[in-house]
Amino acid sequence: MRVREGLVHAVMMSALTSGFAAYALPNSHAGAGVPPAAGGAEQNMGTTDTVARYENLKIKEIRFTNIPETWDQTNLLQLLPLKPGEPLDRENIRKSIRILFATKRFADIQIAAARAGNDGVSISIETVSNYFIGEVRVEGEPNRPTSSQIVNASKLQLGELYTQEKVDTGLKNIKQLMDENGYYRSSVKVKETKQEDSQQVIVVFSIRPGEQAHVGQVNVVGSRVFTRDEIEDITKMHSGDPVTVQRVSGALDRLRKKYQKQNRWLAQAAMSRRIYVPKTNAVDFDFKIDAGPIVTITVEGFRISRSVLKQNVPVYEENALDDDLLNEGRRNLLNYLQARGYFEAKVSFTKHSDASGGEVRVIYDIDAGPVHKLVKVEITGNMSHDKGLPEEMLRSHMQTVPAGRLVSHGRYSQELLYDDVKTLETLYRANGFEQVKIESKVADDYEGKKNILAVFVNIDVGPQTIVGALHIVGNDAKLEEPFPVLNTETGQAFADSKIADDREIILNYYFNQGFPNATFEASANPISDDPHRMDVTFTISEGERLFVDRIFVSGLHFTRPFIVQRELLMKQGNALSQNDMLKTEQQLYDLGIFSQVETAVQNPDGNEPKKNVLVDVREAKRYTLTYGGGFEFQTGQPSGSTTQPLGDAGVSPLVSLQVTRLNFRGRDHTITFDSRVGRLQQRGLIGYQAPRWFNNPNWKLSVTAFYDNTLDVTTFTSQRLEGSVQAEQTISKATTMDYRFTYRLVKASRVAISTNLIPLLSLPVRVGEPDFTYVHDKRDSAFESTKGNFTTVDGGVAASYFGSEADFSRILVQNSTYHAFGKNRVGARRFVLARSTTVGLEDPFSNTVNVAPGQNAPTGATLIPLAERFFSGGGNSHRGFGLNQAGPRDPQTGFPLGGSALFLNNIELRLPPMNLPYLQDNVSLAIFDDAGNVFTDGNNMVHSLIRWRQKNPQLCGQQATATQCDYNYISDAIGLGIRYKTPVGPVRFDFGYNLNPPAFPSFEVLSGSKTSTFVPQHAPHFNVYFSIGQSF
Amino acid sequence: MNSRISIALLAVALTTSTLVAHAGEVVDRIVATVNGQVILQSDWEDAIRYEAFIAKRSLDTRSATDRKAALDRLIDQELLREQMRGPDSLQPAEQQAESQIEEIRKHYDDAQNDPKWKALLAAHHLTEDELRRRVTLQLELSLLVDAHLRPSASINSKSIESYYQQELLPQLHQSGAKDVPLAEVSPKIKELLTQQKITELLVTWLENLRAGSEIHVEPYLSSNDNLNE
Repeated sequence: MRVREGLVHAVMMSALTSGFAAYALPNSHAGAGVPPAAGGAEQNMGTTDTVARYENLKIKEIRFTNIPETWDQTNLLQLLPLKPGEPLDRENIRKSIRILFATKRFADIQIAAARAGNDGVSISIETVSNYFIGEVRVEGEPNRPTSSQIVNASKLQLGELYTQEKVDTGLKNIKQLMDENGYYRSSVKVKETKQEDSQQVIVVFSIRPGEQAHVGQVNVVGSRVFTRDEIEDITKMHSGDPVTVQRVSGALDRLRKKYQKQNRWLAQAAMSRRIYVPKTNAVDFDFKIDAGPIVTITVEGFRISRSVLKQNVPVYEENALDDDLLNEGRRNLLNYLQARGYFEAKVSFTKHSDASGGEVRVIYDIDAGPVHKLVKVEITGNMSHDKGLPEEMLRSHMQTVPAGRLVSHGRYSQELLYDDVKTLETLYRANGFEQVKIESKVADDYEGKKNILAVFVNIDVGPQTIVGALHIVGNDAKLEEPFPVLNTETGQAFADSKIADDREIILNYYFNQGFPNATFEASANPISDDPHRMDVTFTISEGERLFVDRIFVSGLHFTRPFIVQRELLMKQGNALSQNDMLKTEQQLYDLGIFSQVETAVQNPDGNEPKKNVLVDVREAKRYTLTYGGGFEFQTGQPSGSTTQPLGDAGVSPLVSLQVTRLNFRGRDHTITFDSRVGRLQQRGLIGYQAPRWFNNPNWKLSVTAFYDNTLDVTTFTSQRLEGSVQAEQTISKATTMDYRFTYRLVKASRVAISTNLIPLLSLPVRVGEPDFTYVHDKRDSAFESTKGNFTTVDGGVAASYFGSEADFSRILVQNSTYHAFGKNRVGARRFVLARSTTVGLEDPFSNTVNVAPGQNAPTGATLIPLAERFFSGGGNSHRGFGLNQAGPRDPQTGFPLGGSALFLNNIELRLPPMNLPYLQDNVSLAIFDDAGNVFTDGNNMVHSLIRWRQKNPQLCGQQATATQCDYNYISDAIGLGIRYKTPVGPVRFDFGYNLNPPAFPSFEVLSGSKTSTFVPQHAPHFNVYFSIGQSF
Repeated sequence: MNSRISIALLAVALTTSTLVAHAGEVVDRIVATVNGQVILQSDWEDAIRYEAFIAKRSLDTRSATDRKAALDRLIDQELLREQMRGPDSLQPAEQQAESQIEEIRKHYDDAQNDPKWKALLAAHHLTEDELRRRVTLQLELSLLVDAHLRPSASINSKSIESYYQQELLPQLHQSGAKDVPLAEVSPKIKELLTQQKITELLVTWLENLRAGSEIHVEPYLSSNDNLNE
């Protein structure tokens, strides 16, 4: 043993005091220490004190000698205690090296001094740079694992310090990932490219997957029930199948499910071993299986369905059988029964095993007792009505509810009531009532009526604690953003939950303004003369503020750099804001051309006030092929036949194909080919979209050309060839304007209307029309609006000046408002009154005229093309008509003709969601009234707004007077809607009943006859619609 | 073959990453890092001078091996110092440091008056404050080691008796001294054995700390010539 002196000195103190010699330490364990001297020779050496030769000399110059020219030395020099003009001090030299090293930008640092004149010294700082992880890319990867999975497996984090050890670990992890995916023969290499200027390393992993391994032998041990071959079939692991992660992980799931189907709920299956055989490139798998007994769980004494039993007894979910789980099942069944009015129910269980252990029977014995009804939930006590906690609000937080129309026995169980008490206590505490006490009592046989329950909740709110004074200390920095509004306010209720929220608010405020190390502490002390008034102090430690130095963007191959640059919210010299980085990520994602965007701070652990920021993007695949299918169901469905003016109730299938080319010309421009084919519509579209037109984020240009063959009006098939150029201007967050020039060729074919109109209506009509659309959207949600308003104005002029063959102007105005009400109801539990009014007018001029149904057009006159007219009726407009069935009709065939004026008023009362078994609170009802119609022209519309009955409907029922049939009146429909909440908006069923449907004439060819016969008709009263999204 | 190439590339990388060329004389530099904490050339030299002073050895007699050992001790100290950072770190009494300094002073015959003592310190580039700081640090480390390891260094009566019989009595007989009863020396033997055990445990502890740490010593220190600087 040799003595390690320093540590002996360290420990000898205690030895000296105890009177013994110091204990000794060996000197051999210093494996990572200084290498031994060559040959072990010991030489006499002194120590040098080079700095003494320069100490106190005046510093003439300080410079970094070997950092890239593009670096700003000033940033680094500012950090140092060594300053030009000051005498050289040895302690400052040490501090300077330590400060520079703490920035973590350098792996090695030394400081050299040289005489500068007689009394001066020149300081040079020589460094070796550290490098940080920049891009991490993958080449040669198979389909699975994907490049993203491989990059994630490498665990190389953007911006962190690069070390060889990390890369080696990354390689190891990637190889493991490849093995798990069956690529045991893969090779992974890494290529690192260092960029001196940015101190980044680009890491590229090159992968040669090699041949994917296949399943070799599947061995099974344990009590398995199934044969080995059967297990191979169940696990889908046959010899020769490729080894994939999905196959291996799915195998165990499939096996467990198979056993569960046999009621072997305790079955255990595990993959105990997987051995790769390099020679055959196969993987042998060993499964260890314990099939366990057949578990039968039954209920006696009460009828409970199998699915309810599975929901309530956790044995099925946990794959285990013990008394804890069976007891939990007992409690769940008890709650289930109580929630259905069996408030006195008793549940017990017994467990039986057969002697061989092959079967376990569990019997839940239920004594349900009489069914009860909860008729009253009474809340009493000194609740503080003036503190914003009225009884309605309390009730809206409770799950215990008395019997009503939807819950015939009421909803009550001991557990529900217990939860309600806890919920109300939390609610009061959040409002400053720290000492609130809530007691509940249940009265059976209430008011002498057998099996009738009442629940009494007594609340003693206690004194409310109020915030006396709020002191905020430590917020010294003068920041650009105003200090945030806090929940804790003088004179308001004091609550710990509010302080916790304020902590988040304040720290976010600082994080987003360059203070990532800000800390927050809160203290509250009661005022001496008023224990229910608290003085609150928020103490903030801001820490050092960080700023953005340079921004490096990586990952661009096709995209032009300026496309990314203009989205960057981080700017050189600005405070380093977490929020800016997140928003930048979001904006870059919103461009739609990147599949992954990551922002990071380079060298996050380094102690320097200016940080480089990294933006790494992965470009999305530029070509996308999308295809799909669907259907529409409704009444008034065009049948394609010319003999069904009201259409059919039916289904229209639809298939679509879309090819999209992103990143067109290296920009966020998109070219789209879109086609859809169905019975209603055949459509082909080519579109080009250029957001940020002229580099202005508020303008968007789109050019579209399409061919459309539509049968959404029973009267005709509209063939439309259209080209349009549209500029969309975002005026404000709520307001947009679209300016369009549309040029289209419209032809109505398969026209099912009177012959005297056919020549004009079926002629191909060219329409050239500049138009605009104004949209003002102040709704809280486009899917499920509960407040705000929505207005659109769509107008245009088709005239011969623009190459149009028909001359008319058009304006369509729609205004919707949404108003939530229901005193003290919270959020989605409120009623919503929704209203929408639509008025449309088309005014022909020059040689174009309006003609009433059955009337002849003047010689040489043109009509507004059928496809340009207003139509109404259907789930999204007037729910008293089938699809586009409102308004004037052809006197010969009875098919709708559309009109030049439209008025429609929809009023809908949307009820709060109901709490229903299984469906929870996803279902709600709506009551609506749709009133309006399509009119021949504006004059007729104005004069018909107060007419609620069809004028002389008997004229429509006689062949001689059929041409005098008048459709100018307000048709009114009432109805009921059911909404089912989904993530993409509500699924909607609407049942509309038209109070005054129109009579109209028609001719039909009856079976067995070759001539058409006059058949007077009535539009149906009843219509049904199914769709996704609210009607307006 | 590949591993040889890798080693060669690593050697090239290390060579190129080491600072070699400089304008003027190097006045300070990093010689090692311990979990991101820097040990400077000047720290190392100060430690060598301090150790020479404590051991009452001339600076001129310090060998390359001594210098390397000093750097190893600095690394160990840094590892132990990391363990001290925390709210529970133990602070020695001021009096302990003063008495320890007095002990050191007694080793120097010509240091009994203040001017001579100060001159002696100055010859080793030390001041009284610097000496006190270093002694205090050593005491802190001593407290840390003691607090951390003593609970694991339990000594039973069998070991004490064994030491008494096999070590102490033979030494006393050899020196012709009179036997002392076991009960009289038992506490001192226990302390001696405890400290020997702590020494063993300290070695293991330091090995573990090193194994779990990022320790980087500048490659140029592998050359003896550089150690002579």
